Amino acid sequence: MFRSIVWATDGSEAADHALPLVERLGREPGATVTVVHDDEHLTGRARGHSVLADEPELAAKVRGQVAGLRDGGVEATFRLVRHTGGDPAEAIAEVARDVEADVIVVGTRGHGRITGALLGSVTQGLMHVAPCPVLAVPSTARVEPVERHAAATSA
Amino acid sequence: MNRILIGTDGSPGARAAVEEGLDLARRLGAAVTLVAVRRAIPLLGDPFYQRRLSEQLRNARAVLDEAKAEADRLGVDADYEILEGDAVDEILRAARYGEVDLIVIGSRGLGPVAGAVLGSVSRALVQYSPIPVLVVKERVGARREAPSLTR
Repeated sequence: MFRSIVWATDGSEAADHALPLVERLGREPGATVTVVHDDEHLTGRARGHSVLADEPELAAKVRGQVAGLRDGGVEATFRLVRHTGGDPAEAIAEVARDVEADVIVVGTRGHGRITGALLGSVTQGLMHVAPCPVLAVPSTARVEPVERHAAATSA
Repeated sequence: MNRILIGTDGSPGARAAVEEGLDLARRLGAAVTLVAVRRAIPLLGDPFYQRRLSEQLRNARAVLDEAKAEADRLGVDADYEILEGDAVDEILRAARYGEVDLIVIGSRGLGPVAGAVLGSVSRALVQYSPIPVLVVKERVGARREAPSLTR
């Protein structure tokens, strides 16, 4: 199964949809979760938000989610990937190789044509460059949330 | 996670998907639906149609039997279906009707012939599936030759 789990998140709501599943998988005995937040990920396409204005907030939110995972008994670590230019998928894959990931989990907007635009392109890119399986979680997915999940995301 | 759908066609990528999907099912205590989609056969005239059909069904069954045997070995509750038509449509339909929680698929499948449309099925599934999709890459170091549904 998945011992080393990477959750790639840009801090968006779409990305958050993967969190319950990440928590679920991360609670398996022996599993560790590496939460990768890539700020370049957002460049010029963050649904109209400026990267610079939002980034500290998003990173803080993701850090909060990592803390939430830890509170839930998941061995989670936070990795901020900062880079200028280049391919976000490649940056995520790099971390995945580093932690010998068994799976990379990504939230997608799911269902619809916009998917191609934001997380979709990173997800599609990951399918090519990832060293391991990629688990795409659409926003429409219903994963039974673990109790503290609500608290973790609203932080 | 109650039911996992694994799409397979006997290609190396699909075999990796079967392996990963069954392992996941075993650990999560989920049931599995194994799905092979065969392409619709254009009307060729009766004897040819019959021949192609039985060939396709034989290949699909061989692929699914192997996966089912593996599931049995692991103690995973599995059933299987042979569907006809477009792989993406049929897998999504089967997932919907089967109350599936996760789709597992090889990153590129459909046997050697369709290798050109690299990963088109997995890509489309990620784009259109309303439920999570696990895309599994084939392992480096190919396995033995398997019957393909697309030949």
